[in-house]
Amino acid sequence: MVVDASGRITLGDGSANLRKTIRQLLEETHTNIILNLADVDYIDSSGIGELVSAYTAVRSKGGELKLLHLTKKVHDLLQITKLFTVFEVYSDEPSAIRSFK
Amino acid sequence: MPAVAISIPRRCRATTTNLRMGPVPTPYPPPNSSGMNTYENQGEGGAPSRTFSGSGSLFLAPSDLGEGCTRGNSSSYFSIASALLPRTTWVGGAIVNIRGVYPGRFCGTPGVEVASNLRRRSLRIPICFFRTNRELPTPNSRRAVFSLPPYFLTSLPSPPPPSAPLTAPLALCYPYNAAKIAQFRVVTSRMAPDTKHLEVTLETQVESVNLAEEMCLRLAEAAGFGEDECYRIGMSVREGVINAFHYGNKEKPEKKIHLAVDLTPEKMIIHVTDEGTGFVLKDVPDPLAEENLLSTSGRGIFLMRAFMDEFDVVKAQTGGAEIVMSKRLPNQDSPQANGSHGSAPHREA
Repeated sequence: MVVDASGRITLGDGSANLRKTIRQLLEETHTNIILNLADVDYIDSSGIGELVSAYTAVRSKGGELKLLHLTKKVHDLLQITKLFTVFEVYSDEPSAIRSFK
Repeated sequence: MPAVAISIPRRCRATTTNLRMGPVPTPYPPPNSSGMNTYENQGEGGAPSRTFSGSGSLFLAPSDLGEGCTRGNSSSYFSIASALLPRTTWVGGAIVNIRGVYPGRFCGTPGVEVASNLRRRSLRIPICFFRTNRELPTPNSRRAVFSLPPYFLTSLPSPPPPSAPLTAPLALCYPYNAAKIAQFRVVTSRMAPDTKHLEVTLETQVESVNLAEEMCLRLAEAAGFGEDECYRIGMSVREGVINAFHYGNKEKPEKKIHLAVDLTPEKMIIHVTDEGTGFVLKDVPDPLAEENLLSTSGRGIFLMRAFMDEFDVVKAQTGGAEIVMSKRLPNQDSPQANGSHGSAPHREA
């Protein structure tokens, strides 16, 4: 399942929407999720927390959450918070999808 | 593999890449010796119908947009707004209330028409669109105001003149957020003659986070910080206010968040004070430690430290925590990082 997110993942609606979407996907037993962040240009600490929370929620169901197309700001943010090593990050969709097979 | 799209509210911010410049039809004369420009509004038939003058940018209130449409201008709001959009070089700077521009004729000011005529004549006249909570005159004008893309209201690629009042960039976000601000005041010359000081008391609510970020972004832009630095300052303020909102005030609505900004010739200093019980910086867990990497919170302090030049937390007089952080102003000699050349009407060498 590829989730295309757009906008800002920040305290408030942005984080809440992401949480809701991931929870819904897990309820529908989609556990292999690719989060496309190409259109997400801004994430704050609350958004980072939400990404981590999504990551652990998906893993606890035996699945994987992978990130696709990071913008520079998001990339830098994951880098300085050392989360770049935690998440599997892809820059093209086919290889992200292939990685699940 | 099916795709699903989620929409997260986007707050579009202008960058120099999405500001397209249109041609300048007729060069407009530079300001005269009095420092005041006089622009003529030629009206529909090309004959000068009104003359007005001002020293800074133009202040357009929603009622002006309404009047502009209902008083015989054949163009719709939308076509006017879109005609203006690509040509807006910057907004902000000294805002001249249109009341002062048209003495005694506030209600009859066709703002969009005026702006449109200004823009046809020169790209160098700063225009500032103003959005307020004020009762809007007609459904049409309401639609017109809210149909303006957000970046129209936020683009500021060039700094306004050093003499511009500190309130100018803030005035853009204050009126339509007035209800969310408990107290708003600007004190100049309090500490040193060349230090500008501003204090805002914010309600303990989520919107205050966005509001504080937006205010400081505008100040940072006005102070001459480049795009990257503005992002870092905005993010730090955001994290500071989230910290006050969540950890300090425990999200209790009766408590307040105090935001203060000092703009000295060297740096921008930001204070965020809460009404909680305070905390000691060294007790904050390191988010980069192996055992905290997958923690869903606790990165705010780290980000502020990473993004600002100086960062500290002190005990406020009220007992709460006061975050003090600063960023050195960009080197005045170096070219502007955001690359908008020749669009700053008041820029001083």
